[in-house]
Amino acid sequence: MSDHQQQNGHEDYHGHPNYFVIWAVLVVILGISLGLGYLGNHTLAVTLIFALAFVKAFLVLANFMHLRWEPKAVTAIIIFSMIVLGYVFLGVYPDIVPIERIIAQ
Amino acid sequence: MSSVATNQKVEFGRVPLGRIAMWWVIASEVVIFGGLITCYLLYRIRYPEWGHEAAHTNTWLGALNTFVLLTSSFTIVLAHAASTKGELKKVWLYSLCTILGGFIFLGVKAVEYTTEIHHGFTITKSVFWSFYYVMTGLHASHVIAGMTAIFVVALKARKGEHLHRVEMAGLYWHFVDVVWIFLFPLLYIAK
Repeated sequence: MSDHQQQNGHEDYHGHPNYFVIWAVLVVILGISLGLGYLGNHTLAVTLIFALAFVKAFLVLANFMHLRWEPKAVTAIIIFSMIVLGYVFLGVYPDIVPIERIIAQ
Repeated sequence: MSSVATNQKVEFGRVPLGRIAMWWVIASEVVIFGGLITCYLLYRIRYPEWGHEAAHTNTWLGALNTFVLLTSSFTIVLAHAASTKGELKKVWLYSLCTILGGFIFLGVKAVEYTTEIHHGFTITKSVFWSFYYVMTGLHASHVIAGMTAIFVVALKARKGEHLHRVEMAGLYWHFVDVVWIFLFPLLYIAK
């Protein structure tokens, strides 16, 4: 680590991909999402739009937030939060979906 | 300063403490926004007729705001890249561009809120609009917090001080962007 890095406590161990290309891909995906809104099959359109939202989020997380260069333990922090979120889901599901529907399932 | 660009993951011990702390902040925010989004999704499944309410949100303004946030994420990551090279003027310029993006986002949101309220779609109109105002309002407050953090960090960074904080503020800003990436289809497209 250089003196400058030590002064700032900053070690830039990750790479810097071509951010412009990633931004351009994100904008193209946004355009496709808007176009899908005019698809005749509403269920298919919404499914594809949400799938593209996950792709956009992945691109931001992996490249802009440099998650693909971080150790697995950092990814584990986010996975941990998703597990907690799973408990939230289990907690609120019976309150929102009627109990008769749960029994019927 | 030379950056060590590698495709290999580093050991956990080499990750700066500030960055780990920021990831924990983001993890807690995931639960906050995720909890709201989970409840909203369950209600949408239970009440499909909410789609008629969602038809009153302005998709094009929502798309414009998505574009603005994606672009501001691009500029803040450029500020971070510039900080690693010690290019202080670029750090300042890109940080200001990001803050400008935040102002544009809030301006567009203000126009949306005004139009919706004038048409009678207030927070008390229905549960859909309660979710709409709570989720977008909470998100907007995070945008304001992010803009403030970036401005404070940029003031120091342009003097060459605490350059590593540019990345921390950037991580927070990207998270705000990721939240909007999910709010946009939930509130504006799924009708």
